[in-house]
Amino acid sequence: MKDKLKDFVQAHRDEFDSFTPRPDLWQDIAAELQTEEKTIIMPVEQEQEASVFSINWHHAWRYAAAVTVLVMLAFSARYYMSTPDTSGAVAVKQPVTLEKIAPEVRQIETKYVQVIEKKESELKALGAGTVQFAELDSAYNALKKELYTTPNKEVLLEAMSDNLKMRIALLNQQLEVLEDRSNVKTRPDHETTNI
Amino acid sequence: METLEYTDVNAHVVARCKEGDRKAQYELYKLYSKSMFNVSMRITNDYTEAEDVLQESFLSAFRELHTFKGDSTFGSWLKRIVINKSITKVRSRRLQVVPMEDHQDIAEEAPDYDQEEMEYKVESIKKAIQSLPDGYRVVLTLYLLEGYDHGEIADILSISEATSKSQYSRARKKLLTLMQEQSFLS
Repeated sequence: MKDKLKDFVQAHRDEFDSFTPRPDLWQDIAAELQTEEKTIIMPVEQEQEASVFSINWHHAWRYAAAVTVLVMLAFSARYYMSTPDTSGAVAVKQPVTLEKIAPEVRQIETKYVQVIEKKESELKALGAGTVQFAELDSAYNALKKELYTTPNKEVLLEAMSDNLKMRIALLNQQLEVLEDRSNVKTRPDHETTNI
Repeated sequence: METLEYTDVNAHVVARCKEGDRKAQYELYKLYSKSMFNVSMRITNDYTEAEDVLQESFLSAFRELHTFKGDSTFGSWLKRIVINKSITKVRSRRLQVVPMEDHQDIAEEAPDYDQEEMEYKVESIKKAIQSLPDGYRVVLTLYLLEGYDHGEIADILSISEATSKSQYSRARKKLLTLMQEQSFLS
């Protein structure tokens, strides 16, 4: 049976969305998200301490960062006690020992960084701004620092290369989106009407 | 084809949301809040409840984003959350969603306004929708406005497909009656 009412409604679909929520509703949502992040993340970190790496990257990084800070503090404290030397010494000495501890790091880095740089220049060529990896960066550095103390080097190395792979994936996504955009004229905002 | 394109555009933002990027979350909010609010308004027929639903829906969408596998668009995924929460609100009002057994004989009694003769107007349809009983309004808007078929509505409301069809047909007749009355009054 032909449903003229339905045809009419579909033809005027946009006119039916006439209500607007109060403008500050997003502030409430954002505030709620903020408090949730603060309260939920803490206990999860403690619980998953041992086996977290492949489970939840988000928490793993934060945990790694926290542990690293503590470990580094302890190390530098001990270092300063034994050799009351100049302050830059710790930082300068690190790369040397890292080579000894985990020579794989260099392999991983050369392998992925090239790809990342290539993708980034492709993006630039398409007129996109640089992609910020602040969170991935700090996570990566935290993992790298933890190499000094970890009993489980393999897990850390894997997490580090996953971190780099994730950047490549994000860059690829960005590239796809941009290429899509230049190929097809996108119509924003109409998705819900097409469901 | 179109769906794929849209999925891709959102996938980028959704990926950022998964990392807890607040700006990306706001982007999705801007994109969907209005249409989702209207979905909820039609089901709950209550401004405050629709706002509650909107807030709860976005919160739980961001919370559960890791369960979104991208096999539908983000929009349709979110819409199901909004619809489910709206229906829960309506049900918790203790107004029976559909007086399922109570036939009311609307279908039989209502004069059969021939749709060919009727001139539809958006405003009068909207007004009539708001005056429908909850059960009718839910089925009718899901079918007419949200674009679900009776199989999907049956699934959403946990009723049978046949019930969805007959409820829609009754709701539709009732709607036309209400519109007719409006035009007499005005």
